[in-house]
Amino acid sequence: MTLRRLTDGVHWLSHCEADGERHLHLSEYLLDGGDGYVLVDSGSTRFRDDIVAEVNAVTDGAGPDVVVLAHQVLPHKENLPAFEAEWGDLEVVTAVPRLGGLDLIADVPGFTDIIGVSGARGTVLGRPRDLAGRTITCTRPLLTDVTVSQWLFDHDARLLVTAEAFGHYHAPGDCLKTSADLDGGVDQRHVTRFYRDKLTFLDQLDLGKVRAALEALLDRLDPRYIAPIHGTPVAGEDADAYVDSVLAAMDVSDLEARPVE
Amino acid sequence: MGSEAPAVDGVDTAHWDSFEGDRHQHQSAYVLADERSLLFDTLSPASTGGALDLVDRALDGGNLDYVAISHPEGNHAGNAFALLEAHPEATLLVPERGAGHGPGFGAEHDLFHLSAAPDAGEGIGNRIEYVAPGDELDLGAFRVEFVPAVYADHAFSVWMVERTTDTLFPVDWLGFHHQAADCVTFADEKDRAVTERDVAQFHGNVFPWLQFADPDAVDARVEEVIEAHDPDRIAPAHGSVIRERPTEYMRMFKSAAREISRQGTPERIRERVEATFPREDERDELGTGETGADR
Repeated sequence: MTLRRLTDGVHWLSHCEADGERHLHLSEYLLDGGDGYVLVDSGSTRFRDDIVAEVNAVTDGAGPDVVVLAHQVLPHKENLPAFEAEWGDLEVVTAVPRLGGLDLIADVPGFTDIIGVSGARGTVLGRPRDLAGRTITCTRPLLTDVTVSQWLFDHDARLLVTAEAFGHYHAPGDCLKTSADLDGGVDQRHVTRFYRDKLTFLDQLDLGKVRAALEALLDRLDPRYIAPIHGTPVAGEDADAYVDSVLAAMDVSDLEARPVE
Repeated sequence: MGSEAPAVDGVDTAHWDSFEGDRHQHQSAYVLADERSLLFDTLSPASTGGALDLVDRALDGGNLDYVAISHPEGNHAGNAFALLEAHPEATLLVPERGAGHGPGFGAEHDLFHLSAAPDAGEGIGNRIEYVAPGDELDLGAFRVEFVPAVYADHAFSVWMVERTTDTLFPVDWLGFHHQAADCVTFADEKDRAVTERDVAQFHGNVFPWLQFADPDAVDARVEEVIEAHDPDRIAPAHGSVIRERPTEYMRMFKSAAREISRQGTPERIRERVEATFPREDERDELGTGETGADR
């Protein structure tokens, strides 16, 4: 079982892939709304049986009422058909493109078909919504690689779920640990390697603007946990140090002086 | 996409009125065929039948030797398995490593099931090869080379250059919307010229990180791309094929990045965060305090 209760009403389904001595999380989060459940991401088919078993264990076989997708790349969305076969119709909420660029949000006809999640409903970003009894705001990611993505904030638990570009690797044996369980917090090497591997544009960033943006969001939300799809959950008391770590990871101004292991 | 400009606070949609009819965005793949043939990207899974038909028409009865995927995103790779099943002789070409400052997570390819169609039970029989920048293929009249994807979304990305025609295939870079009547015209044939504003609008969508860009660093990278490739033609996935003044379009991106970067100042970000997550005492004032409704 790779299931851990993170905080009241929040269950972390910790699944990961191995690449030598590094593991990469592909997590899902199950939120208990009292009368129903929200599952954040559907995960990879590779972990389908475990995900179904873990969701059934928490929901007493009822399954989730709503699935919110961080984005539509295969390992995030691909269990949806199997979930519907297991639990019946689900409400699926997915990110949509920002039509016209910059700040405008709108539906693009047929977009959910284009990205292969037919029947899903496009998220309305930036407004709190009741999803299966949880108050959740989906928001544009501050950092992402794949274009059409969303982060979400669960107001009840003060849980900020982040997808691509706000994660890190972990060591074998640390798959179910949070930052609070790790001596010294999240290993800087795992953060650095993740950013160097995942983001192609680090050399063109103004890191002062990135820091200001991350701090503005975290100051406002004061999350109990930052919960990455691709990383160890970071406890709120570790958030400032984690942001420092992320900024250090993104600094590629002198790679020869600071090579990543 | 409709061209009627909706009223949206804080968003300049005025230039949408300059489009006649609907605004469209390309979703393009390219077939290069001579002694051997290559398909670069596979179109969206929303149009599998259409994609198979278009490829067959482009091949004109010939075999498909290579299916090259620029990156494993649905609207670029979503018909890969259907195409490979229809063309069992074709070799699948996928990026070998990440396009960023690290090599990429080695197991990531497995997560995209490159050797087995989801739910198929058995793997596809096609040959799979990994390609890296510098790898070349001789197709006869065409010689393609895979080159680094300087502007990419997913880390496992690759661009392509065709040397005989000096065509750069930059995938998600250098797209722009077009009018409904211009779906199969080249950029130089359009009634409505592509503007810097069009390029900014497209890239503001596709590369959200540009809000945090250092414009001088972007300028330098674009000039490096121009120096490295200096193409005669540009064939993007999400814009019309550019046959004239290609470097002008590449430099439009520099202006676009500069404009988009103004969205990411600390003041603008703070305003957005506060509007999205108002405190209790701010909710009535901002009019965003309702919860529970599907808006």
